[in-house]
Amino acid sequence: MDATLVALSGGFAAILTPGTLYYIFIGSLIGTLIGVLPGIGPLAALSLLLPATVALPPVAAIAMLSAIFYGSMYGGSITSILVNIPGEAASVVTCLDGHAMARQGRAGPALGMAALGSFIAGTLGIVVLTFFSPALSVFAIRLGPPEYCALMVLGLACTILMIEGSAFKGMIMIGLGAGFATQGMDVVSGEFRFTFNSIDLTAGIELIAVVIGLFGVSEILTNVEKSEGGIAVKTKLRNLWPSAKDWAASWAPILRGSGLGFAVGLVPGGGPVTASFLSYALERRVARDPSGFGQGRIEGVAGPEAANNAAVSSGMIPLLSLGIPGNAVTALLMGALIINGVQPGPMLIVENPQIFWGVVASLYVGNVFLLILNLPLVGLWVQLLRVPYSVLFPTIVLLAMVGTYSANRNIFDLWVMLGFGVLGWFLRKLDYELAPLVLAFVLAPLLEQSLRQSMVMSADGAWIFLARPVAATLLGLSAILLIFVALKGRSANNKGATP
Amino acid sequence: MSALHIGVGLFWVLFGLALAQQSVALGLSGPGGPGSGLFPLLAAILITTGGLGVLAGDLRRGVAAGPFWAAPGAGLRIGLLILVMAAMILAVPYLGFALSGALGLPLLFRTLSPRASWWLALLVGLVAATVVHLLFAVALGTPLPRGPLGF
Repeated sequence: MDATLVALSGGFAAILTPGTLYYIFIGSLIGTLIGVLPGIGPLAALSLLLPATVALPPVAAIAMLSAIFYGSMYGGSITSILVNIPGEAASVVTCLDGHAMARQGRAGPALGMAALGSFIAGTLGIVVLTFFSPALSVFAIRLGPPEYCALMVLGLACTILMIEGSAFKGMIMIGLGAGFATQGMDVVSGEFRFTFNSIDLTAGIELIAVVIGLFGVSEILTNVEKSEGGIAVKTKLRNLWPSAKDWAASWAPILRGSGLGFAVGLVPGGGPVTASFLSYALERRVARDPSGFGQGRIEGVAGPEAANNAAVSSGMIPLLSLGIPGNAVTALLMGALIINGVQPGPMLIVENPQIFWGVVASLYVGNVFLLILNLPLVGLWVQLLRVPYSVLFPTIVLLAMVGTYSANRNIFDLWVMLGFGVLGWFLRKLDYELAPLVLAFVLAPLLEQSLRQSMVMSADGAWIFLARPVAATLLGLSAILLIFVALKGRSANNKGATP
Repeated sequence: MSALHIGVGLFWVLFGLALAQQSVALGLSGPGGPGSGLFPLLAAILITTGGLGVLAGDLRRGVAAGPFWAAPGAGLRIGLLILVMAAMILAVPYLGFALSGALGLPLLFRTLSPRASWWLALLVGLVAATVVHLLFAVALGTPLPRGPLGF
């Protein structure tokens, strides 16, 4: 424990410089802004700003991107409470009781509790991450290619399980992501795969172009299709600090939300959205009188807001300790690390302790910045809701184009971005989730590498996966999950729903 | 919409099969272990299986037919947005980002706010292009293609 604290203090020493603090501050600011504005999710924001972090040192880049993610969680609750429109998906449940509180003239305590609950849960999550991540890394160092391969398969199986719509559509998205990732020169054999004699495709498809297209451009296309206008807000805010009665009702939901959110965030495919919904369901279940939920119960704000922030913190654990992103956001963070020449995984803490601990320390600092930004500046954030989409979207289009180009300085990437934007918009219309595609796109090169290494190690081909107990257990778990998904789909079919 | 869903399901099956055929052609094993085609073949199997599942589900249950576009005039807005973006990409090597943006963004603005004046559209385009240029080219020092005006 002492060693961890010493290492953490080293991380703080690395990030408590004006430069890194500036980037964390900017990330918190942009994240809150994105969270406040409905229609632009954290994934779109992260993908659009990923190119801007290429030139930054790895710690500053990840700290800024993490702060954007955290900030969007905080900011999303503002719009949910004040105008009943979730700024991002994880704030959907906050609308139920948060907006009801606002209608009763209690917008201030609702916003205050959302911010404070998020801060407490986020900080608790980071404390656990601080001590749990190194231990997991020590365990993970002992894993070989077959175990890694099986772990990634389990991660993808969990992703299919967590998909809200059709599991078959999730499988297609994973296959598509893996397929796109194999385009270009095979680094082992030197053979060109699916390049169609195009020089531009020999190096493969650029991650930044893919994510900006899928999440940035497609989100704009989806919003433009609906033709939503700007939102006028006329709520007056006063007395943001929750009363003693509010605290008495909220401390237990915050703790429960923190624990639940942390557990959900650890599971690949889980994340803030699932965590907030589960927390709301839990609060309703444990309440003595659940009938008041949806009519302005502060527990319905405190629990879910705590859960989504705790899930963000714990989502960093598989990324930093195992090098396996659990959701699309951490997949983007992993992409950012790789672009910066840092390979996340169990060796990160050994080979680059200053980066590992710098990132952990930056999460603490980011949380404090967000609390400072949220409560006093809430009036300013509300004003941002007045920016019309007709101004916002063209600006984002240009930002997306310049961002995509700046990563590789290749015009071809702009066509890739546009192509993936149209593809993403079309797939969303047909209820395909895009996150598994990005997750598979990022994981596929590592998965292929570990698969190949395993097969080379083995004298009996694929039997190596069954001969090694950890790999066999992980693959067995994956099989059980997929059978569960199939059974769930079958029962949904029988009820006439989409599998 | 129903025919579209079924068509898309069929597309996935055919796409998966084509990918599988190409993957086999790449080779599934070589002297140094697994070949270049093994992993893409696994991806193809996922796509084909998923496509078959989606197709079977759609054919068995039928898909509720609804309008393809979310709102009136949505097709035109989407088409114009894609066209303007494509035109901007074509123009970038010759005009640079700043000028392409200043010319393209007013069109996007008018697509989204057809009742707004062209003067306002031009102003929005100019301001947005300037802000993005200052952020990337000046603040972050990203080398961007330059137009005839030198930026």
